[in-house]
Amino acid sequence: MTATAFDELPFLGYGIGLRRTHFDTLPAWLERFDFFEVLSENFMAFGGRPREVLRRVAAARPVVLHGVSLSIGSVDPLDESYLDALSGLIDEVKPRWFSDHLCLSSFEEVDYHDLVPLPFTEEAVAHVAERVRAVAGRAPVPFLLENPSYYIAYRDSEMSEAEFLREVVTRADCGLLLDVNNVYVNAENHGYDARAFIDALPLERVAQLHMAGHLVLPDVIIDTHGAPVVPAVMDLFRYVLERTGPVSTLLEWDHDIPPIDVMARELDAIRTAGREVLGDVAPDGVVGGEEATTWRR
Amino acid sequence: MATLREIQALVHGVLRRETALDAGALALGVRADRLGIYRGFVAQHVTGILAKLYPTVRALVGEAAWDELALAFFREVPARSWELNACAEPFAAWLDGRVGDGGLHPFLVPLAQVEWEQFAVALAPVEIPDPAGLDRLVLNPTTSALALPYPVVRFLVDRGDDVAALSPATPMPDPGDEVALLFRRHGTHHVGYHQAGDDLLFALKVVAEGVPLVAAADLARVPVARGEAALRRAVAIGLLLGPVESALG
Repeated sequence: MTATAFDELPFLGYGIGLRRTHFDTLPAWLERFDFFEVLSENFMAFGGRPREVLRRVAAARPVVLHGVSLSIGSVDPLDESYLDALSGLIDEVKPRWFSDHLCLSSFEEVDYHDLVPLPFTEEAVAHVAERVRAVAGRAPVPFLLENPSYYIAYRDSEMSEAEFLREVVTRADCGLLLDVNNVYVNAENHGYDARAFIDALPLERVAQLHMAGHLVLPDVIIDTHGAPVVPAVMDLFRYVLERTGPVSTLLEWDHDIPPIDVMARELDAIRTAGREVLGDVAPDGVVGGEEATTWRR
Repeated sequence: MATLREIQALVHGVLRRETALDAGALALGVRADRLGIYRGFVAQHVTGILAKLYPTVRALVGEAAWDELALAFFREVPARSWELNACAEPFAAWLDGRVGDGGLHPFLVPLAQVEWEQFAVALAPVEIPDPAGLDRLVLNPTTSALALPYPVVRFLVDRGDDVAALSPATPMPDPGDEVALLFRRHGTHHVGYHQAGDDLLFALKVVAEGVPLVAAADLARVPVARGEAALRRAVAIGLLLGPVESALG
């Protein structure tokens, strides 16, 4: 692997997404989570209780931002109102990094609120790389792109998914948020070898991992983030860590979100798998102390 | 080979249901069943957020009619915000244009306005000052006042929070002007909604105009004791913040 600036990003340990359903129960369980990922759009436009909880969490634990509406692959101009709101949240929360998906989520100013895949073409690589540079250039913290799950393969694609991902993040000079469940889901849905896919990625740029559950239907697997992580994805996680070393790892759960104790238990299973590969590696940069103690009272 | 823009335009047509699924899939060279997954998801995001934000309207309309209504909204009102909830904001105005169609009762429009406002007030990016740190009465900065042609607040208060008890058979109220006051309470973040009766309107006037209670009572021909009680009620419910004594003059 070639060294990159993304190699030097801190290992934040094992975390979960900050979700409203856990606002009441989280304080008592805070110490079970090393860091939190904040879904940017859930907080960018809002005050009230979500913002109050976010401030407390950010004072107690490292936070990273993760978006779904940047629409980095759209041919529309970048949405300035979105970038302004995101910038405001970054200034307030001071995340270690921020991320979004390699996809489009809008066209002709209509928002889909979903992650629509891009064709794997040279034109798309150039388009996305330029826009990533523009977005990353405005922010005081690093930007990562995530490999999304996708269900359609365009006839006009010119390269493999792994080649596309490598070309985009290399030319954009951004980090890679590798969603291990997405690798599994895509490999199953599109009939490729998940380990060969991982081997073809620029792993030196991987700064964060996502783990999640999915839904198996008769002829397709849907990336639901609504179930426990399956053993095959856990195996793939170990395979990744053997090649990357310690990487901040997050359990995503967005539908049928279980209580916080179940989240802690599921995260412990991921942590155990990580320790099997890495041994005991302490997270970098966990804050806390007085603020966390105050909140727990 | 299609350009990036051409591919996105083709996908867009399918997602917005302007292009038939099979035709779009053929043009893109993708499986129609897989493309249909996205078409379903994109519509479900909008119809799902409508169901979340307008539970009372939904209950009064009934499940089958609601599903048709929500999908029609998705088709006719493209989502113009990256913030999903914001895409549901035009629902009341859109509903207004459909009153009379399919038996939609006009009460549903102001009801939808109030349901949206409950959400907007709950998450308004406004800081509420700590009343204990104030030395004069101020209006809760999250306050929203809606002039409505139906007694929506009365309807909601009378029926409590039991949306499950509502159905298309539930009687709708008769028309009647109402000013609804909604605000987020300091500390709890709970959203209160109240009918603006004479007492709360008087309390708002005292604070908005900065007039001492005695002078305001005199102008309004209200007994001072009643005016003071109005101020104390407005503070108790969280509409006004700070010490009542500062307004007593």
